[in-house]
Amino acid sequence: MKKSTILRIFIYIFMSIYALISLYPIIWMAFYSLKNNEEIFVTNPFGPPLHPKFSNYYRALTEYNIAVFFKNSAIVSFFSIVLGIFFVLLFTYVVARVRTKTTGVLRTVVVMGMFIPVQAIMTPLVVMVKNMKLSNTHWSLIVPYIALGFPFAVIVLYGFYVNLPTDLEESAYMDGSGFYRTYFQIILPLMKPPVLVLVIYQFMGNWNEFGLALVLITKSSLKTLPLGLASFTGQFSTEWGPVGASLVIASLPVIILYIFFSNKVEDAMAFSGMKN
Amino acid sequence: MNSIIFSKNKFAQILFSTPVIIIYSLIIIIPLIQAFIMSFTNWDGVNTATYAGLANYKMLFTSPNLKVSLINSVIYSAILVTYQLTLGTLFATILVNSTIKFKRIFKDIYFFPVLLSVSVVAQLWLSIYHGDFGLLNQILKMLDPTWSQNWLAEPTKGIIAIVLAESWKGMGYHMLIIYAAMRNVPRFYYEAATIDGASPTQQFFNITFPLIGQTLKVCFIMCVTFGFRAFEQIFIMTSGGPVNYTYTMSIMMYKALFGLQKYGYSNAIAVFIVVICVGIMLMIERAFRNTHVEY
Repeated sequence: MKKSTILRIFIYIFMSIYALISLYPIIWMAFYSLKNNEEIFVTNPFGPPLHPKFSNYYRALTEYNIAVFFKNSAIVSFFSIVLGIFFVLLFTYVVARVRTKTTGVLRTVVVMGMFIPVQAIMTPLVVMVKNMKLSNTHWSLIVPYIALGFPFAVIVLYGFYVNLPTDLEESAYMDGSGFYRTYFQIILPLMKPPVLVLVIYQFMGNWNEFGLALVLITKSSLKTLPLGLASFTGQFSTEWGPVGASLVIASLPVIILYIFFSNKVEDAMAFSGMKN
Repeated sequence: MNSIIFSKNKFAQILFSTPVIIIYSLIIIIPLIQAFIMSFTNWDGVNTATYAGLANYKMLFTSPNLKVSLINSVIYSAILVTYQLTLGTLFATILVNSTIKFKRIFKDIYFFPVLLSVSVVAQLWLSIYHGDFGLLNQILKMLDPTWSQNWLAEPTKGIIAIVLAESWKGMGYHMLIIYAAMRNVPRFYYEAATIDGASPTQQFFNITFPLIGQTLKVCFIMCVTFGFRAFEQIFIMTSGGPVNYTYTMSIMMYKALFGLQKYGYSNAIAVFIVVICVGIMLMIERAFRNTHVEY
């Protein structure tokens, strides 16, 4: 056998073993979400469910409050992403088109936010949310998520704006189209590709965010999915099936999004590697 | 280079940039300054704060939990770097350069755990590590019944078990970043090198490695600093326990804030976390300074 053939076989085996390590725990979770305790613990710990119990999913949604957590996550993710990206679109347009010392400093200060551990602002945020009486609203999470999304969004959008020729907007402006019309009708539609990358990237982040939600949300009716799932430790440890079902339901939106937009996720990762 | 469209619309400049400036100041800048100031005070969140000097820092540096936390962070960082960057670089190299089939499927499978929430991963691995019925113990019992144990309940083993779950989740993230960087290396460098007779190994160390150096540096910084602010996975899986076996500084901070109600102390810990993370970042920047290459 040729040396390269042996190497290929070795690579296939190695890649397959890690694929198993990467994927089997998730499949195992999906399996046990359809089993009862006896099947998980004793009769059939590893394989697919023999008598699928779809009632686990119904119980997750009702008894385990997953429907409520899901709704909260959807509200928080939606508003933080839409508002956050809209604000950054406007801000970065100014920073990219007006090159002065001030705009340069503004951009640097916002991008530097990327390196600040979220712990640094946690305690003051807890106090602020309490003082502003935001504790019992979704805004106590939406506004911080908006701000935390700024640094990465500025990096991505700045690159696109700078590479956008100014002739386009200037000729439209000369032709009598007002400033706002020029921006919203000519420039904004051109930003669709980076905006899609940002929406997907930030959805993955915000849908799954846990740390800030933990300290800022106290009311159980406002808990997002990651927060709700974390509280299952101990409390529901006796029945694994519905817990597994809850984990699967919580994971589905991001997984579905990835299936449709995996190349956009790759673009986002390319930006993550250029953080400075 | 300044656009004429803005020079005639000063008001639009202000209008467009204000929302970000206000929100960013409110959520990031002001709290950052507050955290620093509050770290020198005594405050329970209700009564008036009093000046405390360096008392909070003194409390931190004399705390028996700090040493455990720092050791755990070093273990955390070391395993994250070894697991995520070694495997990530290896898989990215194979996915970019090798001619094997099913590349896309491998890449998607490796990235899959990244899509899960930290809570899902923590709950999943709690059930994998479960002392009686966990997947790991079920597998080990088939090999040798005496191997099964309660993985999260012991010193050192506990934190390693947690960071392995964390690495399992994050490997694909770093792999994809490195993969994206490798794909941006122009093909003709390799073609030229092949004509000159360079072996694949030589090509990797002389072309790929220098050109993706900046990306590797970013990943390296992310992995190392993550160990020193690790919180979520640990909090859900063990809350720092049993005793303080799986403490990190972030866990100390959380307990100071919600357990002890010592707001000044929790801010002092936060400031210390920032100092360590920034310090590590600058050190790594310095170490990588001479490796920056642009062909």
